[in-house]
Amino acid sequence: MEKAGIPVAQVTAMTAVAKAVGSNRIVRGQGIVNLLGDSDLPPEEEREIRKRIVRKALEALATDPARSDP
Amino acid sequence: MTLTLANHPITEFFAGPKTLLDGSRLQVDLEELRRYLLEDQRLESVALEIVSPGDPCRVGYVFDIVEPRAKETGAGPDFPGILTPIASAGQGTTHVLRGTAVAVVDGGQPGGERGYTSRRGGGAKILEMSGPPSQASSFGNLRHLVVVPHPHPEVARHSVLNALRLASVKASVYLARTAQGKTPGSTQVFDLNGAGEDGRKGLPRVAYIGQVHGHQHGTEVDEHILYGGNTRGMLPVPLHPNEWLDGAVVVSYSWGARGLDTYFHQNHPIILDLYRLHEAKEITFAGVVATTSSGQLDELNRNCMVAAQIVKHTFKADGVIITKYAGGAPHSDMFETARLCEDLGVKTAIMVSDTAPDRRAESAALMNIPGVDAVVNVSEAADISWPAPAVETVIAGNPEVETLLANLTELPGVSVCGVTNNQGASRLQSIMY
Repeated sequence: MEKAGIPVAQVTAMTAVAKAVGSNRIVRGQGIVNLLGDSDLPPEEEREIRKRIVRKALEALATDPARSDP
Repeated sequence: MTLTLANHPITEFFAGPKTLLDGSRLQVDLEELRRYLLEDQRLESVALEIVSPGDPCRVGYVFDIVEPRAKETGAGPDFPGILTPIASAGQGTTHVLRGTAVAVVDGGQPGGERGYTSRRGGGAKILEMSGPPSQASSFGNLRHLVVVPHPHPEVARHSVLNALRLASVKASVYLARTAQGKTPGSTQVFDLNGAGEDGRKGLPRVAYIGQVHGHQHGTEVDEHILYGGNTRGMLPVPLHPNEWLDGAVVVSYSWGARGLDTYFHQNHPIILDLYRLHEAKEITFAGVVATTSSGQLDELNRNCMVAAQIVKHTFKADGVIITKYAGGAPHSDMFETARLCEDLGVKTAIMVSDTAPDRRAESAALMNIPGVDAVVNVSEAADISWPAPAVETVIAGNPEVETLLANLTELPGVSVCGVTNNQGASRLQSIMY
């Protein structure tokens, strides 16, 4: 997708795999089962986690990989 | 810690009026065993059948396969934390009924894609007793007591699974108690005494790290995995290899009999091989670590770091073999542990399972970490399939599954118990041409 000119942010709980396959923008998700949430938290706190991760992913999309914050 | 396995080879296994072992002939009173298993109030009924190698018989879906074993009277606990109170496994004499197994069938809930609403994350596995699939399986040449527990319909699913686990170990111990006080055909003694002897100077110290569960699949509150505990929040734990072989570890629910079976915790190929090399004074067996694959990155990093530290600084190992739980995600824990071990100067060999059905090496290698270059690839049989052998008997947990199994035309390798194994007990190998 990147080669076709579409920027990609990969949200994953397995960042080592993303690095190994050469993903340009890696955003750490919460966990393998609940990537954008946390079933141990009350819904309102979980929503905050979701917002934080999605915002981070949007920021990553807007970032040139060459100048990223590792 | 010394464990003696008293091996009783079984050549005949049949139902009869009294449960007893006469030489190599094992007779079982199925009614007495049924009454014993039905002491668990969650079970409404239990079907029991004995199947032998070559029988035109298909069994499914399999919850787990356990080797019948029982401690000599007073020698220690049987499956501590599950069947008996917590006490150390791995010491004293354990009687083993070689050539037999207890295969427990999960009825699940009727419905679903395969006539069965599967347990959490689990693949539907079949025990095939005849034809090419049985020859490719480690279980095809065993005499099985097939146990089909039918729980009351109102029992919650996690509790049903707990009842299946309990039935598996109860039946195993019940059968093997027939060998108590009997002279075994052979004995095997396992101890690491002498690991510090002068004669071992210069021998490489080799350890083993094995994943006993994968948290991506979740864990039931009453699930038994390690000494009866469900491993939630567990850090890597150093064990004596005897504990692993002698009932401290059973397979978790998710992938029971899918490349992992309690039978191959009891007959762990890597632990047994490390023992063999230890006795031959080719290596010194430094110890084993039980760990899990993680659901979260912090947990992954913590577990991998602790496991590597134990191997390096507690076991003072020069090398370590690492195996994984079933699935894809456990590869990352295994690779990261290996990377950390290599950084600490501990050589690693890891065992991955090829899940790629397209026969391409690029698809088979899920990860690639520089320095982690001793990678053994055991197949997950994703590209193997047999025409289903004709069968006369189908043993299933519910009528829908029975019909489905009776009408199968193909048996994919991934669906047959004992064809693949994440601990290396497999007759398959991935080869690229």
